[in-house]
Amino acid sequence: MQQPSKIQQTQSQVNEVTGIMNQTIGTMLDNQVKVSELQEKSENMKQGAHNFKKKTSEVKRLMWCRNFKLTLIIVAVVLLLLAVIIIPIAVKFAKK
Amino acid sequence: MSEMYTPLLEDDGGYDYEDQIIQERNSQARGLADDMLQLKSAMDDLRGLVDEQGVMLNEANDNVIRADLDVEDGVGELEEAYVYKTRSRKKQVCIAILVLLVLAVVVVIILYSTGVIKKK
Repeated sequence: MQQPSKIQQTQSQVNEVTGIMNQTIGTMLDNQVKVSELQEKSENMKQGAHNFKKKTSEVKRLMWCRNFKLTLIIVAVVLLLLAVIIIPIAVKFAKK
Repeated sequence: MSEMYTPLLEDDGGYDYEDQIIQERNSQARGLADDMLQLKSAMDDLRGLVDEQGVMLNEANDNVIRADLDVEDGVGELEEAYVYKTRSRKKQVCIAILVLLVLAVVVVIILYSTGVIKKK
């Protein structure tokens, strides 16, 4: 009479574990949905970050170009200033 | 499950009773085995789900890491851009002053050459 009770005991344990297992699988399926959502969102975020980086790189290049242009203009203006100062003097000395 | 094995004729006595018990136990053990197999398949499903979710989570993690790096790079580039912008503003002021200087020199030269300012 001990053997059947053992089997029944095991059976009830198995039933219990099966119940827990079903619950766990339900939770797991919920998690699956959440995780796939999370993954999708992170994908979007990665894309967004990539775009952001591209844009900032563009902005940086733009600013660098502007800075470079202004440097060239400064050099040109300084040369112009020197020319405006030196040429009359040179002309004056040439006349003398 | 056990109802499939209905009691045999009652007048057969102890042997049939034992037989019946053995059959019942057998059926119970079979049911147990079935349940365990089901449990095993559930476990396998669970393992599959866990593996799948692990892959997805890893992917999400990679995405987040890459996004983080990109944003960091972006911030660095924005800082550089800001430096360039500050410099170009200073240079604009510089250019304005220089242009004024050039104009002043030109005006002085014109005045000088037209004799408004007398030569010493």
